[in-house]
Amino acid sequence: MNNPQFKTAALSYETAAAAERLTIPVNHELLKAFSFSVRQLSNHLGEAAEDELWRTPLALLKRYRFFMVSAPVPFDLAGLVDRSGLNTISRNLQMYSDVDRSAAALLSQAADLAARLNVLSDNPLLTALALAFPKGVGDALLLLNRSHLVPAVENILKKHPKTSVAAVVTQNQLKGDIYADRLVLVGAASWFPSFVVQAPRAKQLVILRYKWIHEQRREQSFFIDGWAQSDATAIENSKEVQAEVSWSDDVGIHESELLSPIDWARIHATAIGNNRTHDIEDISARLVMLEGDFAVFVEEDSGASVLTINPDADEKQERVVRMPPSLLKPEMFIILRSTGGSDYIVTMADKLLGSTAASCRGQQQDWKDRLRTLVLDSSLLEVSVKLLDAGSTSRAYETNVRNWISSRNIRPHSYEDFSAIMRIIGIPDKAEEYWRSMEHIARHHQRAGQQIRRLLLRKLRSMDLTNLRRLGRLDIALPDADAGTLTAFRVMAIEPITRLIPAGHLNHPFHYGGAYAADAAV
Amino acid sequence: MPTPSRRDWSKTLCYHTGGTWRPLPHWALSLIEIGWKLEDRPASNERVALVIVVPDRRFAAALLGLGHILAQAVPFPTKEELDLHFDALLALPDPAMTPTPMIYLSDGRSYRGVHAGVRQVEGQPRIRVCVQERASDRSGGATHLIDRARAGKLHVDPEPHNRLGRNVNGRSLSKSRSFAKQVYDSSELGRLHIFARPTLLMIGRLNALRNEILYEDFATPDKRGAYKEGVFNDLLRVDRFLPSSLRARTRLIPAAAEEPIVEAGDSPPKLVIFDGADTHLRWCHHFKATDAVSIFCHKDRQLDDAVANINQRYATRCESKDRDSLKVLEPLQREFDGIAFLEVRR
Repeated sequence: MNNPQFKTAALSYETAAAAERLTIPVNHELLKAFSFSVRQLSNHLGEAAEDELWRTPLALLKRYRFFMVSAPVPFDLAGLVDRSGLNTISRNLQMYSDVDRSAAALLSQAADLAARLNVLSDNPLLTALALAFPKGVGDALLLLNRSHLVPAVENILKKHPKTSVAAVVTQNQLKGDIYADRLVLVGAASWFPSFVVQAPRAKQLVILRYKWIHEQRREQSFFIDGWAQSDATAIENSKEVQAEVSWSDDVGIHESELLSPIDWARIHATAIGNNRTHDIEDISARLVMLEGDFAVFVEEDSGASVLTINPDADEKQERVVRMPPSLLKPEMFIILRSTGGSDYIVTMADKLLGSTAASCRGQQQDWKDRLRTLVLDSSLLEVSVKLLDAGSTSRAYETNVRNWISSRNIRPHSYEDFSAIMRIIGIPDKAEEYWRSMEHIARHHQRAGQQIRRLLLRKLRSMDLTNLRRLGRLDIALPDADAGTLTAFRVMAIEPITRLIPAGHLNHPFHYGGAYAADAAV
Repeated sequence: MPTPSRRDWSKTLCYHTGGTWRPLPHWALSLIEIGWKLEDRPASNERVALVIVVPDRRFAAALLGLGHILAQAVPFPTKEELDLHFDALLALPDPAMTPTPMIYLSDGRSYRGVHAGVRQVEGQPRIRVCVQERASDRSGGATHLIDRARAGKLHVDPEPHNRLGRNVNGRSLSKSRSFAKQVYDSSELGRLHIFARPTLLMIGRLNALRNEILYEDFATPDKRGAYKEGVFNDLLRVDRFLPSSLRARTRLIPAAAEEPIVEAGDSPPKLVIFDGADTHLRWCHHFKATDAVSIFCHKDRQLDDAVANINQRYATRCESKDRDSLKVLEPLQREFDGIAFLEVRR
């Protein structure tokens, strides 16, 4: 008699069917005033909010506002607001005023309110939660929209007698078999993926939200003419608990206003700078926002790949999967080398190549340098034409030539193309010898990839992946691989466009500072 | 034709919880019912595209498949099929030159045997199958004579075996035969082992489906109230989870497979189940002539893409046909979101 999986599935259905929704409206006059003042400033600035001058202070204020409405933390929690940034705003008020006196006044007001809030130890969200459940929240999960405040909130909940048994979770953890009597969502329900609300893992779904945050109701069915009815029943069943002072003002802030669009250009500039001219070796890449205010460029080329971890994989072998970057999605986990350079495959491959590494890499460097020089002396187009004349069988488009020059590419797919390259760079007699070396390198790259994957799979067997799900980030040391430290990062968002970037920036995670993305709509 | 009793039987299915057997919950019965209703539809030149979104994908494919299988009568072999089978056995090579391994089925048990030639009895050929090792000149070597009428009980064993057993007990066709026997009578059980054809195709994660179909116990009370235990595979008879000598009613393709493996002579499935949004996206274009159920879970990583695919297909259909006439199957359970509509078979 064995039914562990069926019992768990039954529990999922039971909780989904029984879930009752409870909204706890919270209020705090000063926070409301601050939130509205930020909104007023933003509305006043309109498109000017994108100007460098206003963007930084506005991002700072919005980030602070988002933190305060999205987690039950005291307003004076260290690190919640950039104090030096607030001081900078105060110091530069005259400069702002010279540009737009009204905006400067609004900025001053918002910064002043932020400074006043930041000395208060008030934690209205926690207070309201405790008031709503006088006997304690009991077996509850508190779901946060972002991982980085998890440790702080855990600490705060533990210290409060009414919440001491509650656990803090992130949405990724809720994908596992985790159930509770109560699931508390902080902020707006629409900030969370649909499964959190539509298939809740608790019998009671508590939405802890400032009263002035307005939320649009979700579509009830995924499908056009779908089965799910309009949420009339759910609305009738939902309750509202009066947890604090009554509030009669109907004016509110829409939940989506509290989230900012991701400033991809700014993140890009953090790594590459604003005014860089393009180089022939630049690679087409996509920017990926990672957990913990990190980002990375991943190559867009169809032959490129990234290593991913799926902690919930059905088969153990599927836990570590190499996939084209185009298949990356938010909530996946990507493995990157966080120390020791960007490409662990090259390091490992060189180790496997042993004594032949130096000569093979030397030859690789040689033909690429010669081809690069040829392009610099003429143009990509001219070199493409020359290659065709020299017998290149594939269409020697400029993109192909660019790829062949790149240090990330080992060799062309066909020997005919390689032979044509060797002809136009003036060393046709070495074509076969060099080709053998390139084949040798390619084989060892493949072996290196397989070996890293094997080592990762072995390592993961002995690792607790809870923190990966919870905090969205996990360091994995592979001493046998000489690969430096690998880190698995949760993918938060992927830039919809591609950019040309220097190859050296690929797959190298960088910290962009969260000032303009902590409240990003991901 | 499906019998109502089989449908009722599904309502007696129990799972084990809190130290006791309890009837399957409503959602599970709803899934069985959906599978049943899909099989129960009259033939049409339009196929059903059904999608359900469930809070937990576990067991949904198995339960839907169970409904589909239960709704089907166990096929009776035609006389022509039996004749062809017997003729093929008669044409087996001379056992003195090439001993052919055989499987002989009798009374709910299977026996490993070796082809021992053909003997004429009363002018009719009978195939000899030896099922016991000969211990001496005077003992062992039990042999059965199979005539044309009982041809369905004898098969070539695709797994070669070198030695016969010393005892002749054989082994039970299924450790949970009593569970399946609550559904099928003995004649049906025999036919299942020999003439079942896969009419259901499941595509999903192999390990997860294996756990659900092979390793979770369910039970059903007999007339005396005693619980007969079994696993879903006793009824679904999934090809991957059966010995190769037994005939399957369900084919299972791992979601990660490169291409659908279709063998010569395979008849197309009557129903295909895509277990998961990713499976749906990867495989739905392969099966455009078959009724299809896609099971999505709120947590599926590719849910949005899969939903977009369905909405786009539905919107396209709505351009050429009235919405109401496209609808099929009413929602059965409050927990499910979903849609069912008719598409042109291709």
